[in-house]
Amino acid sequence: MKDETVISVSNLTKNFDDLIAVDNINLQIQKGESFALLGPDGSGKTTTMRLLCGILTPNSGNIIINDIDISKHSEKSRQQIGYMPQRFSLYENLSILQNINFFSDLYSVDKKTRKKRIDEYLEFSRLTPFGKRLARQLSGGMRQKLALICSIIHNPPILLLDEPTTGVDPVSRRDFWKILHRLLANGVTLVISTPYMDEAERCNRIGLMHRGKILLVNTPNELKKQTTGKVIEIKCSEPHIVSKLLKKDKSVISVQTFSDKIRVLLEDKVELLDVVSTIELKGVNIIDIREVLPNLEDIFITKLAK
Amino acid sequence: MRTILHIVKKEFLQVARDRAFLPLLFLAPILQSMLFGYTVATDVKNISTAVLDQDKTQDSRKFTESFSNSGYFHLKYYLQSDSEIENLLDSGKVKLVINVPKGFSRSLKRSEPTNIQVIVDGSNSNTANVILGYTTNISQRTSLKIIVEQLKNAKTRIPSVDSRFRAWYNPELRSVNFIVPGIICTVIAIVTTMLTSAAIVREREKGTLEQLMVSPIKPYQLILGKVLPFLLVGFVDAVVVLLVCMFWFKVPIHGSIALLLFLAIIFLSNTLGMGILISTVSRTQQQAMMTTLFLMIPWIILSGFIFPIENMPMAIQLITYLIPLRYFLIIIRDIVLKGVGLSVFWPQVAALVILGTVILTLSISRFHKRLE
Repeated sequence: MKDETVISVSNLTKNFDDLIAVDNINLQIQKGESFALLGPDGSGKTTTMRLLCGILTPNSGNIIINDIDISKHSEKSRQQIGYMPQRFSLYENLSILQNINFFSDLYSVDKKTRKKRIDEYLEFSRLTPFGKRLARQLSGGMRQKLALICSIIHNPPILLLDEPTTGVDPVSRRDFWKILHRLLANGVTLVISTPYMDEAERCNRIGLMHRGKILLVNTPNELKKQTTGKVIEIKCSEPHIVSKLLKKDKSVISVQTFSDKIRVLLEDKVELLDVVSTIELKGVNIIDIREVLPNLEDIFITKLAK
Repeated sequence: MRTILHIVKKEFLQVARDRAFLPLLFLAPILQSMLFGYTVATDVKNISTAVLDQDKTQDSRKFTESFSNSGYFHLKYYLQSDSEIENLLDSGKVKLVINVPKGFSRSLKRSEPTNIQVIVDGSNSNTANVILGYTTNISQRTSLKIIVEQLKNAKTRIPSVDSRFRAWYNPELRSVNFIVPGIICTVIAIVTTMLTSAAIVREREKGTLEQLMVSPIKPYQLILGKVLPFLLVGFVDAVVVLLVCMFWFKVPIHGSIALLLFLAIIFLSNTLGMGILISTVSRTQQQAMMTTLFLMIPWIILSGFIFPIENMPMAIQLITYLIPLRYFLIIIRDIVLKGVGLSVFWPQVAALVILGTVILTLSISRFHKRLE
């Protein structure tokens, strides 16, 4: 089961008129892994997802899913893929059950299996009491869970989720991931796109995406180790003055100001003492200053800064 | 086939959810039939008329009476002076003023050419023309009577051509018989085009189309599934209008109703195709509705539904050949009024089949392109 490539993307490019949305990306995704495409809005995540599920045709390059070239035979791979678009796209004037039944019909899920799966998924996502409720009356989190159920009702071995938990409350997000972990345990391959670091960290591997390119791919831990900068947190009496001051410094990559502290990403060569003296020269009193472990966000910022 | 039925089933579930839709489905055709049946009637009756009789003789009275006897005119006002005329016409209280000048009777008796003045409200040229026709007819009959009497006195035999008039297909010349069956066309065209385009655009607008596209459903199954429910809606509407036509307006149907309903399905392939076509150029449901209206108004005006195509300028007449409504109107009127069959209107049926094929092919290929 290990190292069996289910999705193989090579030299994939897609442009809309002048805009290059996906720029020559290469990607191998193994069976049973969870893969996160992490990137800011407009980085090409959604376009990549839509290319993967065959809604869009690439300008060049190809996508092989389970040995099928989907640009040539997209319909053959459809039973293999479950896709959940970024926008809620179910029938708002149908009930939860009517929506699920409709998609079961489309994927020709037979009656017996269907009943078992519907009961199980509804139970697991705590939607059972709302079976007859119209989709338009559901909360954001419930909608996403319903959309997920509809896209996995045919038991696809590959699941593509485009920003599945954007705008979802934390409780529903946890429910949502509970379902995903269960699917992963059953050997499903999961690809999600997300702008959230914490969500990406739940996956086996992360691909950092920016301006249509995949900058690097690695496990969350490796990514953290790979960081080239140094991160310090400063507590001081005048955080805003300090943050302004540091932003002018050339060796500072980024400054984030919180209510009680400042998080500064520095080039490796900078010494902690240099920073201390810069701040104290301004007459600001430092309460605490220390080097901390970089998180994914810092890595992302260092990669983008290059 | 199963997949198509799944879509159809879903479409009906959605429609059933929309409470306002079902009554609309039946009310729209009934309302349209009533509106057109009662208002578009081009028969002109009970024309309100004023008489200014300056002669005040037996002859002049007899002449004005012949107007009220005809049944077309309602002599409402008897005037004393011509200063009253303007006010009556301006206020729209009368459509026609008959002015019999002093010396009418004397002039007649002397066998001199005798004039009367007829003033008609020409603001609606159609009605004015009809009124003038009736008036001319009555004056001519009066003069004919006088001539015949004088010739009789002279004991001469007179040659005459007397045209006996009989209207075939619609002996009483009821405009309802002509207009109401045509409503089958307009109702079907408006309702099905609008619903089809809106239903397809809705899938795109709500993003559900994307979800359908990743499923194993094929584009032709999707289109058929979306369109079949509206084929049924159009068919039901045709039946409703036909029933109103037969039982409310008592329009006799001389031909085969089965043939009419069958050809309605061929006509529906045209309007449903238009619906798909509109859906491919519209991004929102509102846009689809506006486009449908924008298209339907010229369709109806140029179809010959109310205004005869023969009266249109040549260039516009050529355009009407591209309008499916035109052909189905001829077919319906042929069936309802004349009771003739395919042997007469096969060219119209052929035109509908050809236009339908073109529209459907074009719209489906555009639909495919938009999917990508």
